[in-house]
Amino acid sequence: MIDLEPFFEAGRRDAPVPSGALLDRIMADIDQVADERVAVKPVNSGPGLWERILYGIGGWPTISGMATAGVVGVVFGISPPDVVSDFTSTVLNGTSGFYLVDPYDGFGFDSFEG
Amino acid sequence: MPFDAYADAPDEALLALYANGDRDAARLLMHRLTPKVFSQAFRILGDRAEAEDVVQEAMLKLWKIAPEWRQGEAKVSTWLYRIVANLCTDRLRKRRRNDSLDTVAEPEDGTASVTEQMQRKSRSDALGAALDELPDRQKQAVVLRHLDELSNPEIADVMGVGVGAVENLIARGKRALAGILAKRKDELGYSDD
Repeated sequence: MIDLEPFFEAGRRDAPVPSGALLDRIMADIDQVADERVAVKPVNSGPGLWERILYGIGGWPTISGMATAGVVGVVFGISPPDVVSDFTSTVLNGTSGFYLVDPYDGFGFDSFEG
Repeated sequence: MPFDAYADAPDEALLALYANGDRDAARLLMHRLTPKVFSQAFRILGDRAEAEDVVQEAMLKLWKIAPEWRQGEAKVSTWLYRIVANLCTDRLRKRRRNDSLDTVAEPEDGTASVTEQMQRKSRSDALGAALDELPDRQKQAVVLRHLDELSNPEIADVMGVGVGAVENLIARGKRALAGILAKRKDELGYSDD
């Protein structure tokens, strides 16, 4: 196989050069694109209503925390974990239910008869 | 003219400056990159006018994408080589040329003798003609590796293939080139290894 390096070397040294006309065309593009960008640049009108509300309540971290708390609440409501049931039993001392209170026991006559 | 101030700035920084309205930064970037990609396009297409159109189109894409350019994701030069390679591929698909390379402006060289310059020119022309006989992908890989002097990983990035595929394309391309040029051995005046 012949040595290709002399050909590559010749090719590198004989590199084609872009014409001045091409550079002029590219420079015109640079200006045109920059001009168009300036023309369509939006006017900064400040944050919108929702952005201001969001900012007022603490931003996205707050929204994220609220959403997480909401989801956890729903999950606990549908399927409470055992630890919640145990806690409830402990606090209520194992008793729960309804009982009747008779506020007029023995003395109802003064309420009814005046 | 802040060209001197930007002389050491990386391409990505110049593009960011242009996105912020600095046109001189874009002009410097143009002077850096245009010769490289013009050389690539010309060698692949073998036509000066078409190569100029491709380069202008590729550079225009660069100017337009400047505000969305994400720093650190890709080198500007690699991105541009890729765009030029794709545009050249599109053009080659549209036409199948058999004509030889146009006359190329030769850089001034005060040190080489006339004989050396003539030999270099004939070798360069022979290489260009031989490259035109290669399949497109092999030609692109050989040009990027041996004329534009990109590394194999860079070429893989430009061509959207793996490094192994690049090595394969280059090896096959060089074998084919050697075969084509060997037929012109006496005419070009060189010896075998």
